[in-house]
Amino acid sequence: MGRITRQACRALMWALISGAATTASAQEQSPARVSLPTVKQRVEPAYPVGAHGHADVVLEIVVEKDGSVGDVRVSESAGTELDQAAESAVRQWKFVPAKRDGKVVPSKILVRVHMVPPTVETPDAAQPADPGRVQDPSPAPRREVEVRGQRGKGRTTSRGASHYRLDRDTLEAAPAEEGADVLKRAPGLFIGRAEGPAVAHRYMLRGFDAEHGQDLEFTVGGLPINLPSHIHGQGYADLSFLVPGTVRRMSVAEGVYDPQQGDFAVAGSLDLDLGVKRRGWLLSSGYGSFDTFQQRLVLAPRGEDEETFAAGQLSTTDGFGKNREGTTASVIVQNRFGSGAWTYRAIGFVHGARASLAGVLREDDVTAGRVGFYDAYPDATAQNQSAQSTRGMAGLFADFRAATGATGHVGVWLGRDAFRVQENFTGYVQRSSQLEKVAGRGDLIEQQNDTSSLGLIGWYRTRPARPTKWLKGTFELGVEGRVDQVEQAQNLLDAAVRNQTWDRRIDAQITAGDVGLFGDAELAIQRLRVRAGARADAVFFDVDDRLGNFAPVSRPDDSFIEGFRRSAAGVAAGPRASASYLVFDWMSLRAAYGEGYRSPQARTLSDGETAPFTKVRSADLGTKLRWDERLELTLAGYYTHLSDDVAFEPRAGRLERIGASRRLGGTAYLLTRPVPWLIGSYSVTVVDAELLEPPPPSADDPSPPFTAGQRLPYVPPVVARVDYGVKRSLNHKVAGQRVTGRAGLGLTYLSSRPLPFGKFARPVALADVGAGVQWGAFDLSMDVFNVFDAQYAAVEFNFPSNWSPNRPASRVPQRHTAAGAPLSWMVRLGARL
Amino acid sequence: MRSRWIAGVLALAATGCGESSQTELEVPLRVAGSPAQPIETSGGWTVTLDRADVAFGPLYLCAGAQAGELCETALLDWTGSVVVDALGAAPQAAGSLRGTTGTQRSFMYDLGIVSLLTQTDPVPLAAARRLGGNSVAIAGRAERGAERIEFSAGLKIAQAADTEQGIPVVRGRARTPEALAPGDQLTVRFDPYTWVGDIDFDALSDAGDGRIADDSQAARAIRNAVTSGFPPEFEWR
Repeated sequence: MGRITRQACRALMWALISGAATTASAQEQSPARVSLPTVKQRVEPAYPVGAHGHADVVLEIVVEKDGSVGDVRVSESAGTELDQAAESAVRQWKFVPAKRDGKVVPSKILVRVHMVPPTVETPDAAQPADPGRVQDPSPAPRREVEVRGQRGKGRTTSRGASHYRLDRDTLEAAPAEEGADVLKRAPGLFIGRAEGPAVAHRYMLRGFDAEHGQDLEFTVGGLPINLPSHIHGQGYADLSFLVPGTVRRMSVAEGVYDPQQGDFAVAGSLDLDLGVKRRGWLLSSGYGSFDTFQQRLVLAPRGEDEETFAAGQLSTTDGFGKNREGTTASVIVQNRFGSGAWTYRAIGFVHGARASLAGVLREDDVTAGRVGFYDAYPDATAQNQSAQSTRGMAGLFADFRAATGATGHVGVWLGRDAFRVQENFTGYVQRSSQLEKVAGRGDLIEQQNDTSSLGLIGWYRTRPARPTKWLKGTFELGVEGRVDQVEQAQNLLDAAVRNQTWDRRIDAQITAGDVGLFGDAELAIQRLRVRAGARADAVFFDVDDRLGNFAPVSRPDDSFIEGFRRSAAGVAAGPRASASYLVFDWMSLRAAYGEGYRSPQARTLSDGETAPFTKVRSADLGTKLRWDERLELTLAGYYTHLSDDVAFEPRAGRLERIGASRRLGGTAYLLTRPVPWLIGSYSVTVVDAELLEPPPPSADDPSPPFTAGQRLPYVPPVVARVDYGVKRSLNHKVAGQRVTGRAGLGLTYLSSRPLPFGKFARPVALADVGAGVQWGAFDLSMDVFNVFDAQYAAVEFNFPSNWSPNRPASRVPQRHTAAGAPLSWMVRLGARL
Repeated sequence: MRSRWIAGVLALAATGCGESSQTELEVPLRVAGSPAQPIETSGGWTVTLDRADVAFGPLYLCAGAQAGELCETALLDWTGSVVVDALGAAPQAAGSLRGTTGTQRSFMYDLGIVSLLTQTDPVPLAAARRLGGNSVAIAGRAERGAERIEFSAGLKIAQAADTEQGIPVVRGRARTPEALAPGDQLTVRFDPYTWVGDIDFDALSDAGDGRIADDSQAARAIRNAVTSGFPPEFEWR
């Protein structure tokens, strides 16, 4: 007990002379000569009693001119005991101080202390600043020398076995078409583009068809992405604004076991940290299939924190097949500033996208050759399908880390989102509810949704308390709140007559408020670690349903004025708990239970109704095994019960309730780094998902699409993913510049999914490959997506439609597909300044 | 044994443990008439039909107790049309009903002329066009003692109500709920003598040459009988 087994210390990131960023390449300047501090005397940290498992603690330390250690702050926490142990040891270190132009100067560096439990051999000595990552310095120091790097959240987020933290090397291993492709690395998560680049991805995770985000809570740089009561899907979350290369870490919490998980954390939560590792300017242009052009710009001022950067991208494409041209653009800026116990981070992004949509095709029409798989129907109502979205968000966050180990976080953010889509799923089966003799003008559904949001968050975690020798713990309290004002409408448009409106279905304004309180205690008892807490959220809705009480045409129109204004509120509360036990130094057993919620779509509420949250009960049992940095293995089984699930209803063009459901499944995740230049990750998730209580047949719907006991529609029982990445110096120079090569491979498998009315979607198997070389400041790469040119459906439905308006229509459900992208390639050339 | 395990795992991965309460179904559809048996009307007329052709289709079988607008999703349907010799007892193949298993409680069909949401006026299908644009073509004679009327009619029967545009003109409830299953076969059997039982042959005799006018009592009687009074028999086997 208490033996030091290993300390692998690596200072991360770069020695930069802080201050003004340089825009010229290092090679073109005459920088000051800077030498990094190096460790002269090291004291090994004592592995604390009660802690278990491998972990990294990243400390931000000041190396004074005399080589002693000055201020120390925990930049990335591994829990209070491990943090303290690492800090205590590093404070005793002695350094050869940094020098600038031969003059001794104080410096700030990051030191990563890798903590390994007893019985494992002590590895090589700690290494200070990684020479391979040192950037050439630039002049005008604010401080003499600084080495900056990653900054963590200051709290332990790992809960159940199904919690993963994916670092940049994993995220960037396989080729990526867009920034949001990093999500594909999350074990068990499938994302697809069924509605073009201006509509959010479709997400599926461990037995949940999360549609556009209804079951997944997304945060990016602290900004909550899900939109409540969105007309295109509850919890709508569009991550298209992400610029490739700006996500440095992704935390994937599958299940709901952390009290900080809020609305929409039903299947789990994904938290993306942004940061740019390679400093300087990057200008990258790409050209590829379907006349696709991409322009990317990343500005990462040298000498600034990794979290400080600005990035933008612009992309235009004709799209594969017909009617898929699109334009997207986004910018993200983030700045970490301040020093001492409080540091601050400002973040903002603006995103815009517009794209034409080909929509869905009946499979029998494709089979009969009436329309091509990648085509769109020739009707105006199909050709005028499109989507546009614009979104901006900004936030200011402050992080507190006291020398005592107490941590805290406060932040405020605001957002504005405008969304509009025109889609026709059913062809010509709708009739106007407002105009008596109008029907069959094409079911081009227009949805509009504008959301303005304001929110805040704050939490504080106490310094570690040790009431007894064998018990240590911390306690956390937090608050979170947001207000959203939503303006939304749904209409039917006649595309043949300049989008003339021929029916109105929704016209509403919603004001929604969500106030959450949470608490969490973390206790360490010998080799057992227990976390227990709870969260309660109160939501408030004010709905101005302007078409409420609409009088059908056959009723007198002078008896009242249409409209149905109402309000409702409700409280969702539930426990969150987890426990882990260190069986061996390389293996821990983990169990977790939690109750989460999803807020209701406000328009479905009656006046004074207790807002019926969708309640999720989730349990997780598994093990994590880790051998050094080279191999990590997670095996987890889980069970979830959802009180009220929803599924897409094509006739209405939105999500409808389908009753309670449950999932029983398991996930295996393997991460390997056999050699430093090779990384591979493998995941497979198998789930048995059952619909328990679908709505029974009724007079309005005598033939419902779902029956009790059937497999959950649209949910893939098996999802598998493989990512491989190789990056290595080629050991020779060309024109004096080092050449680095890299290659990547991504494989995705999605099993057959049940569809309504007894049909099944076909399995999807895709492979992406890519390779590139970096020579000096230049980077050339080529990626090929769907390399085997598999013809697959990005989404499949089964419902009645009529795309032959001059013939009798079948009313039997037919399989409909939206084509996934065929083989495509992209060549990129980048210059780094 | 190992190969079985591998096959099982592969099947699991491919199908995803797929199972469903509904399965696809294709049911052969036949149409038939009834043997010619002269009938006697309440007015004492003995009616013998020489021709009774009806344009039939499309046909929708629904799960709900009421067809029509509530049958947005049908269990089985057949969107073709066929001319039925309603005097011929032998069934003739019309096509196949396609859809899924379930319990049928109602039906709806058109008589060769369909109302489409996208068209202002009803559209005659091939079967109706073969009957000169009509749904029913009927001819025969009525005799009472020495009196004899040779009559004939060609009638259009189509959805006319604006509020029901796009909905088939004939709707009905199944006599007993029918659980549809693989191996089923449906025969729709018409009895044309039921169509003429309510014709006022005295009035028709007074009217002249026996040609049944579109707005006559005889035409209304036939329409009522065809659309609601005497629907065909649905014979499942």
